[in-house]
Amino acid sequence: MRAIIRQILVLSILAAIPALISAYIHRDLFQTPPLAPDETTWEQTAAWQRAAATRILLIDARDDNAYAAAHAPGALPLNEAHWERQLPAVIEALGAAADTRIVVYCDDTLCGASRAVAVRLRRELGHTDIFVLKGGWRSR
Amino acid sequence: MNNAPSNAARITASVALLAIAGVFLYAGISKISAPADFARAIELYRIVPRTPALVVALYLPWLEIGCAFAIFIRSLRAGALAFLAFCSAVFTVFIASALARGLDISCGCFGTGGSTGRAALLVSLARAALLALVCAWLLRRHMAQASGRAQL
Amino acid sequence: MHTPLHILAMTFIKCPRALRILPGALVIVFAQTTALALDWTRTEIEHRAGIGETLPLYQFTFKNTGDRPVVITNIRPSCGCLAPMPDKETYAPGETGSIAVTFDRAGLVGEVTRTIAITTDEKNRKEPYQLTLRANLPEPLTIAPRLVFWKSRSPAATKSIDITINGGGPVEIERATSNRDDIGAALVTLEPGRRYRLDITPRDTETPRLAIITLQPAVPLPAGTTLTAYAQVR
Repeated sequence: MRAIIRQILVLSILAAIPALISAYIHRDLFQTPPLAPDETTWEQTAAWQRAAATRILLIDARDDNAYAAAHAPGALPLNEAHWERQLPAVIEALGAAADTRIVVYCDDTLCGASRAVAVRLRRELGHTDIFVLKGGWRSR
Repeated sequence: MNNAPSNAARITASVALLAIAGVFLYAGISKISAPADFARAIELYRIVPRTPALVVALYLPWLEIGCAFAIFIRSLRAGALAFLAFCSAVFTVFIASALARGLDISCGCFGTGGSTGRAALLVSLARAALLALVCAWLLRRHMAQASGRAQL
Repeated sequence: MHTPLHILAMTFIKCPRALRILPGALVIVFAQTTALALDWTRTEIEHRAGIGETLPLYQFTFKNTGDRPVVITNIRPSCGCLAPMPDKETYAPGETGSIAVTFDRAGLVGEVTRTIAITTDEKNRKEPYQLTLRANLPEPLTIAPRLVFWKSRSPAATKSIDITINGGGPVEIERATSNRDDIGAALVTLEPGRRYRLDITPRDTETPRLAIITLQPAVPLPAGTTLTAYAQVR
């Protein structure tokens, strides 16, 4: 048994040399890409909500089944498939405060629905304070 | 040939050793050029977070290649087989867990095709389990031979 | 000297039956290395849709140019508006297949790009195949912006919304009605059938409220056409 462990150790060290070279070559993968100016994270959103200086409105851009299954507390659904039906509720929510910061999230980093909804909200409502939540529901 | 059974076993073992080495050599080589993709594939199982997945994606292929060669170095064969058996077993567990939790299809638009995805995963599961078992058998055989020789 | 290679060599010399096992082993090893490919006729489809037109069924055809059957294991559209259906799951070598995609345009306007990621059981294919659908979905008319608002206690000045008729023929807007008396909407015709302006004036900006302004076209427009704007005091 000890011989096996010793051998595995030898193999691990031998393999580590090209692995470290590979890690150096691909070192950019270790850096999380920086946030775009209109991107935010769950932590930052929670911090904004705690600070209470700006009112945060969460928008869930996923499909209706996903929203019905589970969503962030206080989040309103808004997706392009049911835009006209869901938009009035969002507009009403905006009326509750003079200034509202909208944060849109969808499934994960790979889905583009949150960005599509954010762009459309900016265009249709003329609302500028909109952020897209990087990482989405799965990273919560 | 009165030692025909052990000859057949030796032939099978030799062939199996070559096959295992070939499989893991190929597996390792095909992963070293695209660690980002392999890391993403690991992340999709949602068992390990991003950075450990990246470390595994960079390190594992070289371990596979190293073990594939080490199979033919008698002093390292046991360790190589043990490690490969362990890797295959872990992979089997990963796939089984993914199967148990259901496939990750984002909007259910694949309809009845869900069974196809499962079939492919089951094949991968069977393959991983088979690799683990073969490695374990080869390891046991090697240990038995080694201890047999030590007693001489 | 009893290395595996030596044993193997001696086996072939002494026992030709072993040759039957070897192909099996080689198949296991080299089956992993065969290059596979689905060759797609096209991976991007662009479509300029007519106003109100239901989108047709899009077809992405491909051929299995590999020498092993290919199984489609996952099809992941980028939205719920796409419903891709392969004609079957497994394609033999040399077989052609197609993925039919229905695109539900409900709620979508303008330049819309959606993708589909297709994963197969090919082992040396790391990334899914990517199919792209680009549609230009014009709406009969554009209301910009959809929402005008006043902050509570700010001056109750008139704010305007531009209405533009897109393409096709002229569409006359007869009137605009607000569902609240305390926010008035007046329709101004800039160019009959082509350009209008909606002037919205709240009576006051004391209390938060929301009004829905609905446009009335002279002739009915395709179902689902957006005809509402919003005015809000926050």
